[in-house]
This record gives sequence, C-alpha cells and structure tokens, in this order.
Amino acid sequence: MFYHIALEHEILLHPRYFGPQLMETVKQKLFTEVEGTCTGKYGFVIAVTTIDNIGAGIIQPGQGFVVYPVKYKAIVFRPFKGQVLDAVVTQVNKVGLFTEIGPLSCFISRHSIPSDMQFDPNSTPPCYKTQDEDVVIQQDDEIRIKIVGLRVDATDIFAIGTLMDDYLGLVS
Amino acid sequence: MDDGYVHEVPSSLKQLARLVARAFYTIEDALIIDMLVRNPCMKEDDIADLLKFERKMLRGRISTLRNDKFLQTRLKMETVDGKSQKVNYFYINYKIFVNIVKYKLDHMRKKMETSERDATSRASFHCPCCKKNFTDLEADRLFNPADPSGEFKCNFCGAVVVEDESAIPKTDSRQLMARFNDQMEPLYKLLREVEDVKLAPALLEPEPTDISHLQRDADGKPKSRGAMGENWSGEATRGGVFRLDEQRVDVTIGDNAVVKKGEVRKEAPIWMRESTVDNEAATSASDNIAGPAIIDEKNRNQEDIMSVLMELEKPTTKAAVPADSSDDEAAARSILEQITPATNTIQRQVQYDSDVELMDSDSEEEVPMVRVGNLEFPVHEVPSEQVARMTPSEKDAYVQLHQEYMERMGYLD
Repeated sequence: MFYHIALEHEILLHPRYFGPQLMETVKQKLFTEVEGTCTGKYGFVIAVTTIDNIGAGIIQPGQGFVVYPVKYKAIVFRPFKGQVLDAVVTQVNKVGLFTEIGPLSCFISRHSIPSDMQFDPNSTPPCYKTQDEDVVIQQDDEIRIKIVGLRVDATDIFAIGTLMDDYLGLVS
Repeated sequence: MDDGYVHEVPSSLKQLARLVARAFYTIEDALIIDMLVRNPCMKEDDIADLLKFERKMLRGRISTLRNDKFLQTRLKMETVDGKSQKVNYFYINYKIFVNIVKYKLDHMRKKMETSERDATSRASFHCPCCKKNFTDLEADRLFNPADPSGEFKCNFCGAVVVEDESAIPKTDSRQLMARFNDQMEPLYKLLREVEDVKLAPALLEPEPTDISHLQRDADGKPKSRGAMGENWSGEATRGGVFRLDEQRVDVTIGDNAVVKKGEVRKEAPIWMRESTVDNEAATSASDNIAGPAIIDEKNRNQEDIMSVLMELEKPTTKAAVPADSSDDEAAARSILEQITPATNTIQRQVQYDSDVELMDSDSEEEVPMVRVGNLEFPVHEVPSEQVARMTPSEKDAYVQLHQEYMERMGYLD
C-alpha cells in the first residue's frame, strides 16, 4: 500500500558544499539518499514530495562535516500480506518465478502456481504454460499476484506470492 | 407442554448424529450411534446383544465415543441374580453432541487455515552439503540473477540446494478449504436447522429404554413388540422405517424377480386350465416361484392348510365319486373342484394379507365350479342345456356338488 507520511533524515554534508547553493545541495542530497531506499518499518520510499524543514546544521567536531536534520514528506510503498499486486516477471525457472513489483522483489514458488501450468524448460525463453498453451507466463510478462509472506529486514523487504486465487495470473 | 421445549428429538438432530458417526468414525461406531438414536438409553449388554458385537470390541468403540463426548454414561444399580451391581447405561446428550460437532468442525477449519499460513515459513529448500534449510522467504538469498544456470545455491557453502519434498503440501490449502466447505455443507445445514432447538431435559438425560421388544429369540423371530415409542413419540412415525424386526431381504434370482403382483393376479391359475392332481407338488412349487416373494413361514403355513383341507375334503369326494369308479380323471377333477376355491382363498390371503380382500374373495370364490367339457360354471348357475351335454361322470360330480352347495347355503337340511 502507498502512504504519504512525514519522515526525518539527517544529511551529512562535506564542507566543500558550503556556499550560496548550500540549501539546494542539502535538498538534492536528501533526494538521492532517501528515494529508493527501504526501511523495514515504512517500506520503500518512492518519492519525496515536500521538504518541510531543514534544521540548523551542526558541524562535527574534528572533521568539518555538517549534519542537517531534515523533516520531509514522502510517498512510501509498504507491501502487506494478502495484498494483490501487479508484478513483472524477471526470471523463470523450475522452482518458480521471480517477479518485481516496483522496488519489491517477489518469489512465486512452483507450488503456488496453479497445477495446470507446467514449467517448460525447452521453450525460449523458459516459461510456465498450460497444456493447451492458452496461458503462457514468461519473462517480462505482467502477472497479478497475491502476497502470502513477507520477510522484512532492517533495510530490505522480500515477498513471496501466489497465483492460486481468483483472478490471479497473467494480466492481459 | 408449551414451555419452549421440544419434547421429541427432531429428525434433523438424529440425522446429524448418524451423519457424523458415518463420516468420521468406523462403521461399528456408526452402528452404536444408530442404536442409541433409536433407543435413547441402553446398557452395554443390550447393545452387544443387538449388534452382535464382541464385548471387548464394543467396549473399545464405546470408550472412543465417550472420550469424544458423543456418548454419555449413567451408572445405575441393578439387581441381577440376586446380586446388585452397577450397570453402565449409555445415551446421547444431543445438546452436548451438537456442541462437540461445532467445536470439532471449528477446530478443523482453524487447522486448515493455519496450514495455509504455515506454508510460507516451511523449510522448502535444503542444502545437501551443509544441511542448512531455507524457506521460500529466503529464496532471494539463494538465487543470483546474474547466474546463468538459474539454480538456487546455498548462501553458506555454495552448493546447489534441493527441494525438500517432504515439506511440499500434499494438497493446495485453498482447494482443501473449498472441499472441506463442500463436504461439510450437509452438516452445517443440519446444525443450522437445530440451532434454536431447545430439548426437554428428559430428552437430554433419557431414561433407560426397554428394549426387550427388540430382542430376538433363538430362531431369529422378533418377540412380540411392546408398545413402541410411548416415551419417545417421534418413534411412532419414524421408527417404522427403521424397525429392526422388519428388516428382511428377499432375493429372487432370474426373470421372476420382475413379475409384478398385478400381473400374477390376472393370470389364470394352472388348475383352472388343466388338471394338476398328478403333479400337485410341482404345481405348488412353480406357483411359489411365479408369485411375488412370499416369505417361507407363510408358505409353510399355506402348505399346512392345504394338507388339512385335503384331509377334510377326501371323504366328501369319495362320496361323490364311487370308489370303484373307473374314471380316474373325473375323480381327480372333482377333487380339484373341491379344493380350488379353498386354495384360492388361501392364496389370496397370503398374497394380500388383507381382511377386506378376504371377505370379498370369500363371497365370490366359495361357489364351487362345475366343469362341462372345457367350460366352467358356478354350480348354481349351470344352464340346463349344459347339464344335458354333460358326460355321466361330469353329471355325477355336478349333482354331488350341487347338493353340497345347497346344503351349505341352507336350502337343504
């Protein structure tokens, strides 16, 4: 799910950036440091929308670096178990499918793929397909999946999904 | 009566009990439950007696059912051979039964739901080298997209991991759930039906049933049936279907099985068409087969009546046909004519066993038939021209019959 939430971040800035563009640099650095990262708590930070406040910089004793506490708002993507999402297939092999949902990677075990779909290693690229080749899932296809499990680390989230539910599978 | 209680066990409750026993227990358990559904409270000896179970096996089965709380026990002091001893009576407390069923179904559902959840944290990959296990959630650590082989490799020792076959779910948990819902639908339907039923306390803790009427004596015939269902009014209508003593299977092999009652009735009996006196035994045998399955006991009964009738009829026949008569055929025929109405009556009685029917046939069939050539007439309605056409032997028989008939009707004294 996507959230628009207020977050905080500290920017450590090299003294060489001290100058008239200082604030611009701080903002720029915030974007590069924060966007695309993942926290276990809030999920993936997709985009910073506003910077609410850049606090007073504190010069680090002995090294000259300055630390700016920044308050900003960002759109975050936090996946949840049971959520249904559209994913792009990145890899197909005999144990299952690897997919990506934006920044989130998701594994679909072959046991979570409907049993009427079988792995075909001989086709190029390898794919999962039904007997009558009515439905073929191969690399770069868009499929709708349901998240059945999440592994949330401090800086990463990994999901496992399933195709075994109504209206899941190839999005055509 | 109008205290909000139901005073007889609803059939849906009974059905529920039977269904549950059939579905989740062995056939022996189901039979015990069946017994207790019919006879609300029974002691172990009686159950063993009726079901012909071994005591030891029965005890085992009962203890299973009791542990599952399907059966309740009541201890009662009884005097047997002058010694008083405790006797265990078993009964089904339907309120508890319903609760147990609900509880167990809920448990099953929960278990299935958790199995779905557990599927994600199950170790599905296994490293043969360092014996490390991986779940699906760690698949990203095993898989290196840059590796062209596309194989999963252990992140510790680098060996190719294998799938742990034992961890693979046997069936898809969603299908399992759907099947569960599908198969339990009748149970849920019954449970809904009995949801608001408040059984009278007497039904929840039934008194021991007198089952003496259900016990069979040595030759398998039921003893005379006591007044059934007096304390169990639902049985009056329902019990009829399941009465133990009426269960009987007649197997007829061959085409005769399809012969219908009605057809048999229309068909003229063989003794109406030709003489059967020479092979009477054969006739009666074939007749038995042709008829609808007639139970042995009644058959025997019929034969008894036949022999008695034969004895009774003989003197009159002898009187009708002189002993020195050269015409055996005529003698036989006259015997036949004597017997026919009587046997017909018996036949009917056996087949329909209906008093009304009996009365009807009595009035029309008791008129003896007189044979002239190949025609037959009731003895009191023989046209005079037919009398003139009679052979001497036929005429003798006719006169004899007519006299007898008149005697019976009270015309002559």
